Amino acid sequence: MNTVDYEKLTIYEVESFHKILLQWCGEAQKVLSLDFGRVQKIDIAAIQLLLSAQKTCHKKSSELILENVSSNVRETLRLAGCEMLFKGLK
Amino acid sequence: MTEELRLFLEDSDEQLGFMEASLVNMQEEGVNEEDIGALFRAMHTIKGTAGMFGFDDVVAFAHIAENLLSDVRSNKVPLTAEMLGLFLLCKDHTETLIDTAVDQKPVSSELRKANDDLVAQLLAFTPEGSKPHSQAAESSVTKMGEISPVQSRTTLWHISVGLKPDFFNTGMDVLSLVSFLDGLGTVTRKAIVIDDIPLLENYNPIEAYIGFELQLDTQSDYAAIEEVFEFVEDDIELQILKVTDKEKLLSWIDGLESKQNKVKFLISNGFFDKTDFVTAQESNQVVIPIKNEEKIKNSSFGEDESKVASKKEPHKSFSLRVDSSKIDQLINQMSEMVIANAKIAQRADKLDDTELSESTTIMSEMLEEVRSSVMNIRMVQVGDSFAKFRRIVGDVAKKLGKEIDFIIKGGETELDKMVVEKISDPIMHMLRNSVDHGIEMPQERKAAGKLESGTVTLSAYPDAGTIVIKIVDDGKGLDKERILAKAIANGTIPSNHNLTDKEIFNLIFAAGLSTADQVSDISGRGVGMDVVKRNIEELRGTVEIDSRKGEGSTFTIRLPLTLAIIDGFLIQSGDTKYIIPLEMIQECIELSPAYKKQMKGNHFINLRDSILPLLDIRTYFDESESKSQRENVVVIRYGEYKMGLQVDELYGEFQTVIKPLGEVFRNVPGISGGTVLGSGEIALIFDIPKLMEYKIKNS
Repeated sequence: MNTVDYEKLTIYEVESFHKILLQWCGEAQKVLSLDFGRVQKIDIAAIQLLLSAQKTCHKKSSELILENVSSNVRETLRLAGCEMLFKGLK
Repeated sequence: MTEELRLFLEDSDEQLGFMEASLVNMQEEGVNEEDIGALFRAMHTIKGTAGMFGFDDVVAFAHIAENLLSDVRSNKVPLTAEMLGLFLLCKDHTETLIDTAVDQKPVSSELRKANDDLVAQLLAFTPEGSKPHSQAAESSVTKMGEISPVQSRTTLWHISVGLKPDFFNTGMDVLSLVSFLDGLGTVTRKAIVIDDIPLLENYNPIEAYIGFELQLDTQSDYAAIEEVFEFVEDDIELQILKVTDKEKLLSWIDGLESKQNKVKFLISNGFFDKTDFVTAQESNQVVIPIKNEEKIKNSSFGEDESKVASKKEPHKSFSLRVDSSKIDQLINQMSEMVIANAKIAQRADKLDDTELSESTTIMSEMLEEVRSSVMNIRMVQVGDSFAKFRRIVGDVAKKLGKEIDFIIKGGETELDKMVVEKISDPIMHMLRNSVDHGIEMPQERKAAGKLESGTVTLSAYPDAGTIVIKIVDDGKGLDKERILAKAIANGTIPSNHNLTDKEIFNLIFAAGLSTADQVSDISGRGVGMDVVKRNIEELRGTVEIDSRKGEGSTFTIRLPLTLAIIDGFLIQSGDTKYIIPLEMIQECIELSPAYKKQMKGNHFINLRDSILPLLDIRTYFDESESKSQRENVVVIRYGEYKMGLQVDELYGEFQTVIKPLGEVFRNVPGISGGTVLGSGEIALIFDIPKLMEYKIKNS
């Protein structure tokens, strides 16, 4: 599992996170699971980046799974209308 | 909204439609068993599918209604006019409950009261013995979430927000705007538009690619909603319109670059209905230009569902929605032309006019081409329809704690659209049964030396002028003894029966026979299999079961390729002309004296060292004596069976337009329809499966 080492994941962090995701997606085999345990805040720019990562994984037949998602982040995803789009949010 | 939810909504809409139709029909025509059955099945299906999504309040309510309907069906409770009215209210209420559950809205105090009232009324009709013992059922809605105050005169608005590429530069948080909307009223639907998000390789982290579609139920007016977006109006594409304002909807869509995608997105997410995109003038004609698959598939990130579809080339062209009655009309007109041309050909033969003969041959070739093109319009690949079964199998398996590999084969097989639609329900029932009754629990499988995960395969392929759809599972197989015990207890068969294995398996198609020990959400009410068989037979198809204890079961559905025109073979027996579907014919042989001698009065011949049972058409249909000098045998094959039809004259190939027979002749066994020959004579079309069945039963 890859740990997402950000407390906040917003428009200020997406550039560096994009680079990390590019590497992770390249390495991932069947599943790319992201440990979201540390992340307390997320915004729409980061959600959009995650959706792109998901598309990328999907293209190479692997799967993006978000794990240990905090209630704050979960609520933001719900507000964006995409909690159903990610795996691991139950 | 997810693809699954959308399918659930479509399905429940359809079931609610059935419910209403049968109730209204009974109000007008009087109570009848058929409609009661339809009503019960619809409620049962809704309960089942709602259960899969965990919509407890829908399940609880449907359960109570279903209980009463079950008593009505078994004649324990008479269905009165008052109850018909009550069930209509129940239908409306179920619809509201479903909408509320799907939208994840809180249950309002009004709805709660309506629910309690209806439950009380239903229970008042239910006899004491069959009342559900769960208190939870009655109070499930009462327990649910907070109660929203009843709002007066709200309007439903559709809001579309598309972020322009440099939206993030504004520093505004679009989600706070969305949550602000929630404060203005209730956001009843919300979907994020993700089609334009590129892959990571081409992704620019500070560029915005997404958008939102929202539905807002509010007392606020247009200006108040627009005001929410005041600070970002230059950085977004904003559209606000009343959901009922069709004109504005159409002009908005018209101005978009990717209208097809937008229309598909809005429909698939439940914002609008297909009919909303039809203008008044075009209501019966070509409607929405919809681009095929790909986009919508991307946006839902379906797990495996694209596997089937991915095999075929994505069509780059546009699709048109055309009223199917127009195609039917075209086919009918084609049919008339085929008949008229046959008439000319016959005349040319009579006059011995070679030039005219030649022209008619060319004409008939062209007609044949046009005919197959027209028929092709109706053909669709079964894969699209099959893909939705993944969800059902997955959900049922999950619910039961079973592990199942669901394999779809032959998704590219083409079949008449109408047939595909009508066959969908039967297949769904059979798949559910396979998962529920067929596949064992993982520990049982392990103990039996099988892999822990079971396999269910759904496949389609063309075979001898028919399409075969097979459902194969590697479960425990059908339990002959249990089926027999149940059928005897039920009075379906006498205890001193003399049935073959196949006939015993076929008993599961008898009405009211379910061998499930427990009545569950998924199956076990004994509805379904009888309907499955009826639906398949209505399509002129057949269904067969093969099963081995401990190894699994195979259900084979055989369907005709098309419903309107077939390539036939014209024969005569006595004074009547008949048509045999050409694809089923293997060969024609003369019934020579040598064969006749061999027969010794029996009804079979030795054809190249295998026994061929014969059916004498003249005897079967009680025809007059033959005027023909020689007798012929047409060897036909249907599925694994072969049979010879003893006939008088063979005329050869004939393009046959199937015309339904009138009321009186509709139920003549062995005849499926009629056709008009070029001479104006009538020929009857054999129903080969029925003739086979007759022969097998009587030999």
